[in-house]
Amino acid sequence: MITVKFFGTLRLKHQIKVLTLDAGTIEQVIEAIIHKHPDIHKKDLMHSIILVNRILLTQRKLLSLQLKEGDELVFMSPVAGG
Amino acid sequence: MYGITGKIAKIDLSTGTVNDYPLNKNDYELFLGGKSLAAKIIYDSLKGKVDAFSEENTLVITTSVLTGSTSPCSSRFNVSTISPLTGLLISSNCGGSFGLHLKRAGYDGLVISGRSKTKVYIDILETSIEIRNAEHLWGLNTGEAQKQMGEKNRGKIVIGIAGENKVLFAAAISEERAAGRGGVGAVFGDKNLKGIIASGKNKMSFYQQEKFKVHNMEWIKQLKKHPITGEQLPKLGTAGLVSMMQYKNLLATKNYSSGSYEDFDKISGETLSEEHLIKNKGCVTCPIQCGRVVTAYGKTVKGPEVETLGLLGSNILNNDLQNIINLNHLCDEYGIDTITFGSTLGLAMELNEKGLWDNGLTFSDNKTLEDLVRKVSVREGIGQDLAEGTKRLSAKYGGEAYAIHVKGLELAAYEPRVAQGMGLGYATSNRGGCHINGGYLVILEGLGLNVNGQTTKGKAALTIFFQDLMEAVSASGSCIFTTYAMLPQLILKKPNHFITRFINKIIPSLGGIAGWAHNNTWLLNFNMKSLLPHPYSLKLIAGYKMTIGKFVTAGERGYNLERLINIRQGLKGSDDTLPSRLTKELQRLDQPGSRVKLEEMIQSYYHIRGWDSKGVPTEKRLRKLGLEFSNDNR
Repeated sequence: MITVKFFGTLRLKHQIKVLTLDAGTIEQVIEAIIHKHPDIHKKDLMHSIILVNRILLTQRKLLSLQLKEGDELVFMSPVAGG
Repeated sequence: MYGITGKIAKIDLSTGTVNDYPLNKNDYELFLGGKSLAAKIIYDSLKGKVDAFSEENTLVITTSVLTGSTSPCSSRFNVSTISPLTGLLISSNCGGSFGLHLKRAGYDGLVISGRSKTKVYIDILETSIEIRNAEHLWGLNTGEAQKQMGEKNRGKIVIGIAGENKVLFAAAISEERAAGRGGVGAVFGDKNLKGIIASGKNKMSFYQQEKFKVHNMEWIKQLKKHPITGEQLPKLGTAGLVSMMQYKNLLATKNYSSGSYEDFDKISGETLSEEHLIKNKGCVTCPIQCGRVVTAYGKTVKGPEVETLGLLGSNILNNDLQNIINLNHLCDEYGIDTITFGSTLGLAMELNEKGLWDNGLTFSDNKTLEDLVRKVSVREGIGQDLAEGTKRLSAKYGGEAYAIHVKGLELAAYEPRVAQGMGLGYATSNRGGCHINGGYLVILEGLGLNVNGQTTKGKAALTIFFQDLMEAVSASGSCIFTTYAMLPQLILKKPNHFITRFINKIIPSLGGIAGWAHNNTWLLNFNMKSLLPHPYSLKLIAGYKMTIGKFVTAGERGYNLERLINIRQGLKGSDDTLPSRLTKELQRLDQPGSRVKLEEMIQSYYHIRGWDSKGVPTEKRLRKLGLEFSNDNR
């Protein structure tokens, strides 16, 4: 299983903090999230800032990245300054 | 004259006299207003090194061209003086509505010197300026003092009990907003000045009012539809940064010994919104509405901002959000700066932990903190030492390496060891450890964009460019938050898009171009309203021949003049530094570069600024900026 956490306006909008889901590729996890919460748009997740185990993902083929048991996946909406 | 009243009042509290301050009208266009115009007035008014607590020290309160124009986020005003905390120039910016009311009363600014023999406040109307007895207000907290000072629809700025007792980081409070940094409230207190109240019906004149209205509506629309100013800040406030700071190792934790806090979500902006937020609110003319309304002690009060959540939360390992809300409210009521208070607590806790000062304060233990706000404000018990801030505390008890200040001013909540540009910005900021005056490069290095924070490449030039831009925006009278809408939406909305990745990668390499453009701003002698609306607004309101290039140069002019005041106050290049915890200790042992490599950036910074190797502006640069008058006093 992996832990999926949500931050920013994404979390407020969908009132969802944490999910526990089966490990898979990021794309598979996104599909699983949408299946559980159909109000979330795939686009919103894919265009989020995505971190795995606190590391920001910036690689090109991000969606095919395979997650391992115990990984933490984070979706975060953009911020700037204060 | 368009956009300004053309009047600045000079009030001498020693003699009780009020006169017009003789400002050269050209200075309005050269220095714009706010902190830069205040620097010009202070430079001219003080004839040598001045002690913060002296009759000679001058409080300068300034508005700007945009104040009162209905321009978005333009009700801010600036308070500048010689800081008791740093001994240098401090400029403290404040929201609310006082600036608007002062301008409606017919004044662009106030220059207050001397020291009253009795407790007083100043009452400003279009027809008069009166120095009134404030004995009945002395000893009151800021909320009650504002209530008793006059009607609700008048602009007010007051100090609390901390300012009266000259706590070195005492703030001045307007409504619930603070001119928080550097102890401006203590200077009010030293002058026996409890506060100022102002109102009037003076109307602004515009150079091209109809064109301004159209431009203004477009600007407001742009702010409302931008993901940061139209969504993140209204919904989460600045508190929404805590989570990102955590994940980018930027969140000051345990007196800046770390950049992440395991309990961060208990004090995050998301949790603040989910569990405490009643509604959001903002200053007059603000379409962003970043303010939080929450509950403390059964009252609806202002909620904490990101700096307060960091300094009174993660920095002292306090995961109790209601406690932070209470502390934030108490700091406002007693009138103290939450950043310096939190940083001083962090140092005191570490001193206790290391056996250097037995003060009873422990990380993670917040039980005594609410009473400690009072103790600091009245200088009781350990509050007497804490009221002096980190620099003096470490001079007395030790711990200089982890007393987290620059030039005596404590740092904001951004731990800079993984953001080189932010580290350089803190080290060189005229205020001392201020993120905004430091150029706030961490926005590029992890908060908004994802530029490599570990590299020093290009950071000197980028830091300078943003320091000068922030200076100009502040001097124009606009809230710094309006600049976040400059970040292209594509980059923010599609962080994994190949264009975004490319931009993040290429930005450090643009340092050379930024440095060259900074020194050749004639190249930017045009306006691009959608990118930077501020100079075009100044043009339409005041009739200035303002462009992006001239705007940035005005910022550079202000920045250099502030530097000259600091040099006159005794500043040396060696003061452009950071506590050794941030330059020598690694933030993360598995990352050899996770310290601020200041030595790789500082000379490059001086060179691009046109300063000599000791950090002194050269005559050539001063001439270029129209600051040649300053050579007479060097």
